[in-house]
Amino acid sequence: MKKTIIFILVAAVILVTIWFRDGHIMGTAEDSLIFYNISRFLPESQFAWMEHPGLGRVTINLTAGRPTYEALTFLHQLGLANFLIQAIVFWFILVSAGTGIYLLVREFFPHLSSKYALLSVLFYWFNPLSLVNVWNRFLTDYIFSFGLLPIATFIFVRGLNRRSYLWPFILVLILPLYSFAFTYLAFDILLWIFFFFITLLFFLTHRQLPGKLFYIKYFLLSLLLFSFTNIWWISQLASFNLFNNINSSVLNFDISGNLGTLDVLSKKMGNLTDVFSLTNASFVNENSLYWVRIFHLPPFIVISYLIIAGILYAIIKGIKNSSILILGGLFFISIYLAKGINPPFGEIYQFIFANVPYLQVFRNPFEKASFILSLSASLLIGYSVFNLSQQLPKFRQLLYITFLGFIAVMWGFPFYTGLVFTSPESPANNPQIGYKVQVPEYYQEADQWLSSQGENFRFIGFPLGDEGITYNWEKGYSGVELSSALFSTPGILHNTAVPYYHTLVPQIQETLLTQDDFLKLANALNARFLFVRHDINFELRKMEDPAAIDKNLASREKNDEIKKVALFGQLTFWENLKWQDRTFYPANKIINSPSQEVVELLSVDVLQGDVLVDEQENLQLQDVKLPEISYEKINPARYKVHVSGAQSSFVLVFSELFNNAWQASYRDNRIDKHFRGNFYANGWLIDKTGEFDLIIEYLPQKLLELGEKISVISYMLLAGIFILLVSRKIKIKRS
Amino acid sequence: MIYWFILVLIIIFQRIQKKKDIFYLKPALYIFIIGALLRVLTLNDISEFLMRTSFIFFIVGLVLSYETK
Repeated sequence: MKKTIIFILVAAVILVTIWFRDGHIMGTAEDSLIFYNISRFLPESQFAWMEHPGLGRVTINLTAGRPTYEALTFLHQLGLANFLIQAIVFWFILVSAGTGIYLLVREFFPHLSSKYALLSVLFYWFNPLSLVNVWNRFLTDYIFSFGLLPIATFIFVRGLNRRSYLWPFILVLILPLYSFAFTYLAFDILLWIFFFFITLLFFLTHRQLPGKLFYIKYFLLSLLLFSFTNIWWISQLASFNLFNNINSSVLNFDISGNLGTLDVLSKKMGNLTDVFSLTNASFVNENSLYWVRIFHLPPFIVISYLIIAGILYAIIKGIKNSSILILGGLFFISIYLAKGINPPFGEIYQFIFANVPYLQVFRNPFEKASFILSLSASLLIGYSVFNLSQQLPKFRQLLYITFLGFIAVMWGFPFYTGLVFTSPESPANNPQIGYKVQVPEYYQEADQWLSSQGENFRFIGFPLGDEGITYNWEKGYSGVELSSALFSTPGILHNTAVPYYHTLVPQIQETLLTQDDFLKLANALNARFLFVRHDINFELRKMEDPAAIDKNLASREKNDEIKKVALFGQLTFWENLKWQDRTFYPANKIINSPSQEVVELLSVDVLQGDVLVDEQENLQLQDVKLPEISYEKINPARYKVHVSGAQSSFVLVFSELFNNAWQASYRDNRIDKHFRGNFYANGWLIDKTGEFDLIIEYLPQKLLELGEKISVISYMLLAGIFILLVSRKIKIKRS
Repeated sequence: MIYWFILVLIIIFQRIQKKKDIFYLKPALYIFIIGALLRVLTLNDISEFLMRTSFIFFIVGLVLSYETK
C-alpha cells in the first residue's frame, strides 16, 4: 500500500512538472482564467450578487466555492506564483483521485494485489473519458469533481461496509477541501444520485433486514449532514424559487428547449457503440488534431472494446461476489445515464428529466454521467485483469504488461506530452502554446490605473462581441472573455446569457458606430471609460475591426465628447467627458414606454433626471427640484443611500441589473413600488420628503449570511461529535 | 419500441423457463463482442442494435443475480 501511495504522489508531481515546467498558467473555454488572479474571484463566492459582467448578476451556487477560493487566495497573498497555485491544485486533484481509486479498489477487493489496484488508478487518470471530459475540457469545477468523486465514494462505501455512522461525519468534514466542485450544479446532483444507487445496490445485495435498515438510515444521515453543512450555498439555489428570479443560464428551466437539447445530444453522443468504448463522439471530427484522430483509429477502438469486454467478462465470472454485483450494477447504471434518452428504455430518462426541474442540468447526459462511468469502469479494470490472469495463468505477466502498457503508455501519451491541453482552435492548436496563457503586463497596469480612478463607474471594451474571444498574445488565449479575470472594475466586454444584458450588449457597439447620441446610452450604463483593444483576433471571432472603432472615437474626441486619457500596450482608454456617477440617481422625468427598447435610451438623459419606465407602471411625478443623493457601498449586495432635500415623490434609480430580489427599505419597511427602469436597471418610487436613509439590498444575501452561520455552527458541532465518537471508539478498543 | 418488445419477450420466457442469470449474461457478452467487431468494420447500425440488445441481456442477468442473492 505504502509503495502505491508513494507512486501516486510522485507520478502526480511528474505530471504537473511537465505541464507547468515553463511557468505559465493555463486556461480556456468557459472557465475564463481564474488562476491569473484568484483573489479577484473571491467576491463572487462571498456575496449573492456579483458585479461582473458589466451590469451585475446573481452568483447562485458560485458561493459553494468559497472555501476553495479562500484557501487559494491565501496562497496568492503569500506571494506564490499563479502557475504554482494552479500546479498545486492539479497535483492535489491527481493525488485525491488516485488515492481514492486505490482505497476504493482495496475496499471492494481486499485481497487484490496492489499492482492490479494501480491499474485502476492509471485507468481513472488516463481513460478517454477523463482525457476528453475533464482534462481537455479544462473546467476547474469539472477537475475538482474528478478529484472528489473517488475519495468521497470511498468514504461513503467504507461506512456502508463497516456499518459505521462515523464515516458520514468524515465525508462532510473533508468536503470543504473540494468545495469548488459544488459550483458545478450537475455534479452536486450527480453525487447524490450516485450515492443513492450505491446504497440501493448494497440494499439489494444484503438479505437481512437490520442491514437493509442501516443502509437507508446511513444514506439519510449522510444527506442530512451534507445539507446542513452546505446550507449556505444550497439556500442560494432555493432562493431562485423564493424570489421568482429563475431566469438564468445556470438554472435554465425551459423544459421544451432542454428536451430538444437532450434529444440532439443523446443522438450524437449516446450511442452504445460509443458509450461502451468510452468515446465522446463529439470529440472527433474533421477539425480534430492529429493525436485525437490517431486515438480513434481502428486498433485503438479494438483495444478499448477489449478492455470493456474484459470488464464484462469479469462481471459474469464474479457475479456471485457482492462487490462485483454492486460495481457491475453501477457500471450499467452509468451506461444507462450516459446514453440519455437513446434506446433502450430512454423513455424513463425522458420522463424523469421532463418532470423534475432541477434535473434540467442533465441535458448533456454523456458529459455528466461520464464521471461515474469512468469511476465504475476504473474500479472493475484491475479486478478484470486479475480475473483474466487467473483464467490464463501462463500469460499472467504478458496480460498485465499489455494492459499496463496500453493504459499507461498509449492512453497516457497525451498527458506526458501535454497534448491533452490542446484543441483545434487557435492558438490552442499549437502544441507549444495549447492552453498556456501569458497575459501581457500592460493589463496589470491598465487594471491598476482603472482602480485608481474610483469605484463608482463602469467601462465598455470594444470591439464588443459574444462570449468567445481569442487574444493574440505570445502565449495566447481562446475561450470565454476574461473581463472578470483581467479587471477588478466591472466592465462590459462581451455578451452573455444574463437577462436584459444579452439584449442590451449587441446594441452598444451598433449605437456607437451609427448614432450621434451614444453618450446618452453610455451615461445610462454609468460608463465612464471606453477602451479599445488591439490584441484580439477580431477576424477569427467575426468582430468589428478595432481600427474602425478608433476612427469613430477619434471623431468624437474632436466634438469634445470624449478624450483619449491613457494608453497601455495594445489598450487605448477614452474618457466620457459627460459622465457623472449614476450608480444611484433621483429622477422625476418619466419617459413612458410600452415595452422598453434599448434604442429608447437614446432619448433618456440620466444627467437631467430622466428615467425610462413601462407605461403600465402609470407613474406621474411633479417636476420639482430633485433631491441630493449620496451612497455608501457596503458590499456588492448591499448599499446605504442618503437622500436630502426631497420636496416631492421621485424615482430612485439604481443602475445595477434589474432583479426582483433587489429591495429598498426605509427603517426596515420595504418600499413596495419596485420596477424596471432604463431597460436594465432598478427603480423605486420614493414617496418620502426631506432627509432620510434607505437600504438597498439583494435579499438572497441575507439568506447567504444566515446559511453561513448555520453551516459554521453545523461544522463545529459535527467536528465535536466526530471527536467524541472517535475517542469513545478508542476507549472501547483499549478496554 | 423494439427493445421494450425484446424485454417483454425475455420476461415471458423467464417466467416460463426460470433460467439462471448466467443464461442471459453469457449471450450478452457474445452479442457485445459481435457488436464490437461490426463496429470496427464500420457496420454501425447493426452494431448499435447488437450493443443495445446486449445491454438488455446484461440488465436482465444482473436483476436475476440480485434476486437470487
